[in-house]
Amino acid sequence: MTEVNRNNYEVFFMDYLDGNLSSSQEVILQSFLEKNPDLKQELKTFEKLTIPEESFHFEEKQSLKKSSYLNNRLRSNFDELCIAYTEGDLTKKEKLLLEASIKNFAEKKSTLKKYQHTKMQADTSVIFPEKKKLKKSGIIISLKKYYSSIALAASVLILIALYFFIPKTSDKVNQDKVMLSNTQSEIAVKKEVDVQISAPHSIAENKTPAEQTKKIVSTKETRQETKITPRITDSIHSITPLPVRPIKQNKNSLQLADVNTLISNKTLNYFQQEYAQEAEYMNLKSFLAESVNERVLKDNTQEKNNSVWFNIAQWSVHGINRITGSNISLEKEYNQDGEAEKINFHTKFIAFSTPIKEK
Amino acid sequence: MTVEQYNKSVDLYADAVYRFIVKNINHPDEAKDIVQDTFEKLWIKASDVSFEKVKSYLFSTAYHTMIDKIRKNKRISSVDEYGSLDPLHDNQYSDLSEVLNEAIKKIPDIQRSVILLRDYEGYSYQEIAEITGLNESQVKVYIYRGRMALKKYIGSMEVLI
Repeated sequence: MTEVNRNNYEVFFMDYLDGNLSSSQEVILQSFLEKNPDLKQELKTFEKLTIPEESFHFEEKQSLKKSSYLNNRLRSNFDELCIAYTEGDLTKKEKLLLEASIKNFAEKKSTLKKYQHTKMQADTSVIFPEKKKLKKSGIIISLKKYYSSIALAASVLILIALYFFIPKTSDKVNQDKVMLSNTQSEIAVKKEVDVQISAPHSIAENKTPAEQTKKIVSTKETRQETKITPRITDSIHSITPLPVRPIKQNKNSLQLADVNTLISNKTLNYFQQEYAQEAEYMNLKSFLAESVNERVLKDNTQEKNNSVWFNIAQWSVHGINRITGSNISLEKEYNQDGEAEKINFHTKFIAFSTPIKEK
Repeated sequence: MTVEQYNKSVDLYADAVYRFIVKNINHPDEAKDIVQDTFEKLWIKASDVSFEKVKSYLFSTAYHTMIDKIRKNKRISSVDEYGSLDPLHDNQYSDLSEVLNEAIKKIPDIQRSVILLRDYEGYSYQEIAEITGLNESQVKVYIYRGRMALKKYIGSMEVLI
């Protein structure tokens, strides 16, 4: 506001009285007052309205002050203070202060007394009548302090058992390998005879018998893949051909057709018989594994594990955990295809993980 | 703990534990069972419990056994169930301890337990907290409320004695 008129002079007056006008505004206001003497008079009456300062004293000010924490509690919760007194939670000084503060108040003294009466005394006439029955004779043997030692010893034993007995591949696959290796040797020998009979020019190319055998075995592998189960096929891939001793050819005793027939019929019949038997009868190891799974581990839904030693180790761990209350674990870790990848062994003292390849 | 120490514990604490339980549940036969269970548990754990800690172990075990029994018998009660603690004035009491024994039966279980542990055995708030599984503040609050209730009961009865 830069201009003062009769409509806004009140605001100017208030600002003037509060000392909020600038020097230029004060000049404007003085000029306005000269032109309006009635308003100048009005402003003077305002200036006289200042309230004189008076001194007031609250006489009980001292009573509002807190001399101690106890005083505060005395006013706020006397019951709490009495209970604290009864419980022995007050310091000696606080006790004396409390006693002094209620000295002249009969009601408060009575309240404190009542709280003190709530303190119960044990009734020693109440006794347990059958104490003799509770008493024991004999010795207390603490097995628990030996548990860690037992668990450690058992862990080491399991560790050793795992190292020596758990095969990297299953026993069955090993059997397959052996069986197929023997069969392949037979095939290789017979096929060599065949080659020597039917293709004498090969010999003329100065190839060693070993090289020829490699070729023959390779051919045979391809043929078998189409006829027998994938499990056997996988095993064949892992076979290294055995060295074949040269056999003297006897043209008169063997004919090409006879040899081929012999290889195909005899070998495949052998496989079929072996696996048919295996499907019909369980060997001892499989039976043990099955029994451990069903009876000890009580896990029928779990994938049947053909590794006997792994199951025995699991059973041992289970037993040790039961006896000692320890937390040893022996578990297989499976990949996304559900195939066992690793064996994890974990105890308080030692933990390891070993890869397995189970087909 | 040795067998001798175990048997000494029977001599020293069986009465106190029994008293604590019988005052809590007001049923002597059940209290005997609880004391026997408690000492059986101690016997099983004897090798793990030291003689110095046996009193605390016994009270804690007895307390929790009692709570389990109360729960099984569905006798657990909340504060609300007790309603008014106003005494029945037609009862005749000869002294204050009788009044107090009557009053202690009428307050909630948890308040009664902590007050008995405090008054009978002189346990600290911390020790009571360990025995009952509460925290120290809760123990203080239950003692406070229990004392208030007892005082109210006594206050009314003192006039009649």
